[in-house]
Amino acid sequence: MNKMLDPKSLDRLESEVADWEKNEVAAFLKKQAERKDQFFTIGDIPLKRTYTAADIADTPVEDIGLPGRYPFTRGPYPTMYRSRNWTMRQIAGFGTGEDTNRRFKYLIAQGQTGLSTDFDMPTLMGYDSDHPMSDGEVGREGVAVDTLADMEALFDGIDLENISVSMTINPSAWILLAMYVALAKKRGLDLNKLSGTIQADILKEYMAQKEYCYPIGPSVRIVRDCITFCAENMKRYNPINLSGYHISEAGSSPLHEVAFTLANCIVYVEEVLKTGMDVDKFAPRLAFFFVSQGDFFEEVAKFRAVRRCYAKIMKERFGAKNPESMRLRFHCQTAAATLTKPQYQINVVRTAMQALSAVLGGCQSLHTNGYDEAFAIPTEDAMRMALRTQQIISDEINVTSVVDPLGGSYLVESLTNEYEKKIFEILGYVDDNGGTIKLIQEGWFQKQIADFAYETALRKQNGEKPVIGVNKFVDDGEQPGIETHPYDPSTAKRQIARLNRVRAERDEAKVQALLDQLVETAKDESKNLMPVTIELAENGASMGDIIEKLKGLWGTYRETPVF
Amino acid sequence: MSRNVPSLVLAERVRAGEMPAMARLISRAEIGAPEVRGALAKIYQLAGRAHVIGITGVPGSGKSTLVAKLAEKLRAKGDKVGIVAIDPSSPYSGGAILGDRIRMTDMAADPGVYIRSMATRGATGGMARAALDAVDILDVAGFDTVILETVGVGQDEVEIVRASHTTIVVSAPGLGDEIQAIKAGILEIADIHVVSKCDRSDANRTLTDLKQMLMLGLKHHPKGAWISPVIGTSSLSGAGLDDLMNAIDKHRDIAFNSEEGRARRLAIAQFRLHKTAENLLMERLNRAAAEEGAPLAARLASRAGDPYSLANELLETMPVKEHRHEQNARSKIA
Repeated sequence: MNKMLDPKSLDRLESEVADWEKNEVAAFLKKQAERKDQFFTIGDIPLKRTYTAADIADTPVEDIGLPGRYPFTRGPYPTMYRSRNWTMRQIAGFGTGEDTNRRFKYLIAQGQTGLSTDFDMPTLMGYDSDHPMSDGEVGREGVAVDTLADMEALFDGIDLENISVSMTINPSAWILLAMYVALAKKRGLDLNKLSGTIQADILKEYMAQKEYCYPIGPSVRIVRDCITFCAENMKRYNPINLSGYHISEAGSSPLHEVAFTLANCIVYVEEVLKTGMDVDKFAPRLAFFFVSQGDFFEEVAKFRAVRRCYAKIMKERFGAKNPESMRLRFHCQTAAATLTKPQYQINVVRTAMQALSAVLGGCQSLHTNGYDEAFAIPTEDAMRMALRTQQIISDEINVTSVVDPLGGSYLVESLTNEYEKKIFEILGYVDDNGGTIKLIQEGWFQKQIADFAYETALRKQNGEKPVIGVNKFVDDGEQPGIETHPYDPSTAKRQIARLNRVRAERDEAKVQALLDQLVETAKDESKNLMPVTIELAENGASMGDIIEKLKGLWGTYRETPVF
Repeated sequence: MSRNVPSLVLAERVRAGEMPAMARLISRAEIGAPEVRGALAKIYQLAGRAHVIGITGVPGSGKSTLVAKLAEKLRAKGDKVGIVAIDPSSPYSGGAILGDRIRMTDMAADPGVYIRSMATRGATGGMARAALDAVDILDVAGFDTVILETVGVGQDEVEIVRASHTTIVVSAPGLGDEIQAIKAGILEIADIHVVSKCDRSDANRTLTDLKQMLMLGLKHHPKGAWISPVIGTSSLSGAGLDDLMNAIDKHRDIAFNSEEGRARRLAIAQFRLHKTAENLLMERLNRAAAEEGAPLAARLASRAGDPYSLANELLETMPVKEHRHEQNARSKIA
């Protein structure tokens, strides 16, 4: 193993640093003290005054490596943005399929290169639009999808073989995937040409976002079925988007965001391996989704470290042979929780900085938040501004000409090493304490997230963590008005009318027979739920029909509040 | 010691740190006979030096174990520690449930620790007054820290513990009835939150939910004001106890040396004033009811009058000033 620095050079450098501390630094400190006794990253990693080659002297040269080569620290592809820019993928979704379809077409016209769909709360939780729980929520924070008919409206006139479509959905993800497949078949498309992603990362729901229907066991089995189905039938489709984003938005540290996501990844891989499928058959399609938080260099290091860790896990723990199985690809979104209502225009600046660290960290696709997202889902104007932010980064500031431009930075390499070390420590702890699912049940992950969230809230409260416009440089004057995205009150009526029409027109006996077949399939853990679910979608079954039917078999998951 | 030692004499002996005198004066304060009032007045004048820590939590939250551990830590740094524990009394035995105290027998032989249980006896009207009198007596007897422990159920118990300089609310995992705690308003009064039994894995949930709930209030927290820390402890492993001691030290400083502390002491004084007046009023009302109540009740029973008018009549029979007999008793001592 080659080290970055030989012992002799290291000795010389270290004595030079010591000399510098004793002379220049000490003399300067006498004149002016530093602003703080100690400096930390947002994720609480202590920072030194400056970094030198001595700080990365022990790093094996191979660990830094080259782009597109194991362990992929410097990027999943050898040429990165020199060949193709990241996919500019602004998430959109509100109202009915028709409403969101119009927004999609607007975004494509503005130069967006991929689609990303946000669903309303009822769809996310698996309720039909006419369920009592859906009252007031239909199409409010995302698009409402009950049946295949909604899916048809959503993607009307959009060429699914040539644009990748991501769907942010979890407990009911396999039903949406089934509808997507049904739609593609109806249009006569080749399933192997479809590219896109369903999120389907249920474990982070139990940890952070809390959108779930069923107990953990059956929920993980559903994820497994999505992965194996896609491995067999949809060669270009990502059946899961392992997401740290929501863990971070729930308040975790950046370190926990990536470490917990890898812990979840290990569970899914183990589940699929139990079916006898070879790791190299499905691992190349595992995709990730991380946040780009506020600490610029820490974020870049986080992305580089998680790529390196994933590569080592897949190779060493799971014995992957195909380099594509070890190559982590991720979608990135800027941190919505950093956006503020006061002086909301400055959110554009925050988002731009976060987007830049995502790009310097080597993301494959990116969503930049709208400046108005502390108020409501974004307006067209806010989305255009967010998209233009990405376009400036890709086209104007020339950061895309060199792959991994921060590679070799003493600080970034040092933080990358630190992150790798700490990620493996956490994974070791999880292994030693009964595994991810047991620790979710015991609330261990949830507590780590809550602890950091609470610490952060305290630091904001006492001003230790500045938030411009909120606890620093506060504007006392009247804030200019903001026009937010309106909610169309006719949405639920329009949506429920279509649902009723589908129900009236479908072959009820056939749907019921398929639902019974679904239960039989669910009872046999070795079977895959996807084929029968696709058939259900084709025959007009609604998401609620399917979810409720299986609640009869599996029951639900509940986390009663302690207080 | 004769049974008839005047309370004022006992007060002098308390000042000299005599344990038996202290115990007897607390008993008299508890009974609340008029004879003791002059002595308590003197005690009150002399008190105000000890740091009073209130600890509360639902039954089974591990309060008493925590109190014992805390007392050990305070002793270790040289403090004399008085403990006043308000036990929910059984209506059958009429006494305090002393089982909890048995856990403290380790310290029973230590003269630097004094433990006193006070029973609520169902009628909690005079409890707050008596408990705070007991705290003053311990204070004057030279105890540096006085811990006031109550069960966090019932308005009175909550109010008592609130009348301390530093209020600790103990939550514990696995009880399932913490919902009750928030209803009683007990979480809001905490200067320090403790989640006990953190050696248990379900403590994660308790800590998580507590922090998430407290976070909601942080935005509206006045800048620079004390923020109640959340500390997980385990009496088994001793984890978190040093953090708790640090938090108590910091809060003691706030309580004695800040504007926030001064405001708190004023609020405590208001509370005591109110509670004592309420107590005196109840005595007078009870006496009026005993003397004049029977015919009024008879009229009410036969529907010859309505509850409000008759209650007003009863109140009008109440002496405006304190009973003459009491005044005599007081002047004798003075």
